Amino acid sequence: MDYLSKNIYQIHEALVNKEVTPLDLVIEALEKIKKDTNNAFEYIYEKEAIEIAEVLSKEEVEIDNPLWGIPFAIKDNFSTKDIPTCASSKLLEGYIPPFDSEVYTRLLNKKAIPIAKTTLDELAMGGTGSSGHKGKTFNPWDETKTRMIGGSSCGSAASCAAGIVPYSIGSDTGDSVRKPASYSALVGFKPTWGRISRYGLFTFSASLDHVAYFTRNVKDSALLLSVLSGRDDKDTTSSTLEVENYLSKMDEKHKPYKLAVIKDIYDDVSDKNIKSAFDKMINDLKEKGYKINTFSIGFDLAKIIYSTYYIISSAEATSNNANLDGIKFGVNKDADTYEEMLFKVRSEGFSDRIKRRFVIGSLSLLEENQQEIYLRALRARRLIVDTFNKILEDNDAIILPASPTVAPLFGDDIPKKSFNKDASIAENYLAFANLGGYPSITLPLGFENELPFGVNITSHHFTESKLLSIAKEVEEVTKLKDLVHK
Amino acid sequence: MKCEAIIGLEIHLQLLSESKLFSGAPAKYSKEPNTQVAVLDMAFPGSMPVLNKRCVISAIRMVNALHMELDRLIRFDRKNYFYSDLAKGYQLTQFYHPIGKNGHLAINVNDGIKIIRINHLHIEEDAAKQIHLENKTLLDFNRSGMGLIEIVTDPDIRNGKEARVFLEDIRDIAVSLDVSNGRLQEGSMRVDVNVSLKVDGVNGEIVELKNLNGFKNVEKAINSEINRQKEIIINGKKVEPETRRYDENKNTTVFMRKKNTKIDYRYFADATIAPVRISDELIKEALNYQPVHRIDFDFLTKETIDEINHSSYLKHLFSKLEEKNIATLKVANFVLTRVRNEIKRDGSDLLIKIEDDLLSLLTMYEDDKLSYKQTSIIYQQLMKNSQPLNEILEEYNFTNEVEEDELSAIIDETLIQYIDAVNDYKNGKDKALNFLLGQIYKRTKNNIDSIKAKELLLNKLEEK
Repeated sequence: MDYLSKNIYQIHEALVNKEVTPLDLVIEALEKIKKDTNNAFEYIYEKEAIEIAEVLSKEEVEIDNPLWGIPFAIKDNFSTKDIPTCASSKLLEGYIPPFDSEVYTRLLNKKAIPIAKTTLDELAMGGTGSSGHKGKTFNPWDETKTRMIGGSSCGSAASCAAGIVPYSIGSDTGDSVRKPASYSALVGFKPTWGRISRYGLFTFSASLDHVAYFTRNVKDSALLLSVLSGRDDKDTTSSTLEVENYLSKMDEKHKPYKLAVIKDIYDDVSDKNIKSAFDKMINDLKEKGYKINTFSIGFDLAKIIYSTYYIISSAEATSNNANLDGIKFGVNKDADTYEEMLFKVRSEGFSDRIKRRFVIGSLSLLEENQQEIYLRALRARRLIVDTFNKILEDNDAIILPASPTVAPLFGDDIPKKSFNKDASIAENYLAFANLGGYPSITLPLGFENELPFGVNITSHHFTESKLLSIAKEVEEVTKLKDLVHK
Repeated sequence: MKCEAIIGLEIHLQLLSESKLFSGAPAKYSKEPNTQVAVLDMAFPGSMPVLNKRCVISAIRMVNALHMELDRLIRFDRKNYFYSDLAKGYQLTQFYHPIGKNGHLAINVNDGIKIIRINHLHIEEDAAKQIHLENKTLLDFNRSGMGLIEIVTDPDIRNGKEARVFLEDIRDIAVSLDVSNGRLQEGSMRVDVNVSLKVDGVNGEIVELKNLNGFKNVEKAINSEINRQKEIIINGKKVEPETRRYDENKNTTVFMRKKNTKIDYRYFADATIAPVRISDELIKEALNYQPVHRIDFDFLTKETIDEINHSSYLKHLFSKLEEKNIATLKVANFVLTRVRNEIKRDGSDLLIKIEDDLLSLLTMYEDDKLSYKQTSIIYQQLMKNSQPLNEILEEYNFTNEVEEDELSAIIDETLIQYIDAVNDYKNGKDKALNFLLGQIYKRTKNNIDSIKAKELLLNKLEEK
């Protein structure tokens, strides 16, 4: 019996038809988790999930609620009441939050069943899925266990890709959901900044952080958006704009879409298979009547997307993580003075990668450097966003390969490569959607030696319905959906 | 040698409000440590700030009273530093865009008017409270996240007296606008003073005076500091930039610490609070407020008076009672026994809605048109907020108290009808008395004085 490799609607149908009960699903998930070798989990709801499922199994299936009784996984940087939450940081081992994040509350209200908290790069900072306190999280598509699934939402990606849960929640500050989705044949979606409440998401960089998630097809993604989006008074940055009926609007009749390809980024992809799969998809879309325009934003601007992201996110991160001093929660250390304790807790608790971000972030905010580094990054952000705004005003969306390669081998240290002058543009450009706060979705595009790679589509603020509609048509063209590594 | 003192003030005022600046936890002082704390006040990961409207209203009132330019877009910045009492590791403040700029206050000193310019006014949050014991420090997060405003003057003050008069005026304005208690002794108002001497047109080093706990002490501390600096200069030495406190007994300032290294707070704009645009309606709401003066009645204890003045709603209600000429011990007792609990439990939102009806009800009570019990019953109905006062009165028909002879007749009837109960009572069953009373209440629809009724009933039972 393998229901959890199906998509949400298929599992829901099986529940409605009484082929399966929530308890069966939970047991299937727990068995799969036990056998899993990808190191995707921080906490497993062994007892709790069975308890919820037992209650639900006695109730009527809610026919109009497709999430009812279906297990999901959630990244361990979402606050979950009474459930250990450490954001894969040594410093937060043993921390049990006293409150629930809004996203989690909304899923529980839908009677979805939490099955696991998943691994991440420590405090969501990193793109390799290897910097957490539990080490590397592996890519289920690579049986040799030498390739990353990418981060920082590595555990959420791996648990969905391995057929353990049909969807999983992550967060995306630079590309932390949309990049792993490319490496694992999943749909990874980050709606507009402000569309989903971030209350309870551990803040990494508030101006860039987004709640995002993995599903196995576009329709499931639209379903989740309708559940998770909407104003939450606990997060004042959440939008008061009305939530649309994404599922029905996605299927509405429309004029052929106009898509933009950014030449500077496209040209930076050297992998021939990826390029030809992308070209083929573009041709198929043209045949459907799509209009495809090519734009150049200039090599220099394309090049600074990542450094702009890195400076702003690191600067904000040093402040957002200043609460981790061991006094109020998390790991405490004996010391004679506050300063000594702070020093011990933070130098022993954080990994070197995090410290590097904090040092860079702090330096960029110092009075003597702020003009030259931090404020310059803010100006660069303005420039980048103005450029993309213009393109998105004239086009329905931007479409590009989501990554220039398939899942890289561990040891290919992306951050180190990202700042030298040969740094890949196509590797790091996805952060433009965080800098601008645009809705952005990655979905499968093809395979190379049985390893997946994806395509990314990004549209203007609060045009999720249109974006999902485009994504669905791309999905029809690629015929790649509901993919699970077995 | 021409020598002039240059003095500037930085004033912190604790804001009066039901809840804290960003967290929704109650903004109450003198409570059990660490009981008035929301997740944000201890910076639990993922907690987010939500700006308190009442604190913004207070800031708008002060900005208006001090003739300042109002910044209609409220934004916050982060002041970053590590300290054990700073839960988040940064303080939310308005560094780049203070809510008020370029104001002034005219003070009256030595029978003349002097204008003191005010540089800016901003909103910020308080830190937790440290309690230092012999070999450890305890933290009380009740204060963490409380709302403050900081008022920073230009260096227009020239001596201790001007500073004292200015501070007293600020205190009076803050208290009358219901912005703050403004108590220097208790820390709800705090002041830092920057004093330097300008000698022959050349500015000297700035000395900061801290921990000043009284308006008179501010005056004395400034004057003694000016004298100290003068003496240093006369002796040909240099004033060092440092922080000093005031020793009341010796009437002199005392060295605390050097001020030679400037701390870099790495200020930058916060992105967890959506910027708030101040609407015309909000300004109207803030400024339409009737200033409330301190409530004081000689028939209440000092503690009770303090409590009333500390609760913005109670204070407001008592000022209304004064207006209506019903601020009597009788009405005060009713408010303090019944209404006070309501405020403690549920806040004042509902009370504000039914205020007119409540005042009419209290007037009827004061005029002896209703008994305590009747007033209580109607008050309860009012608090359900389902119907207006006149409807409730109609329904209960409490319009007139039953006259004594009518009451006597009703009791007689009751005793005849329930003769069994009368016998039960005679046989020592006390419960029967309550039963009989209940029947009497029913027949009179509660329109009686319960004590009088019981007395009359007992007399009649004796006679039987």
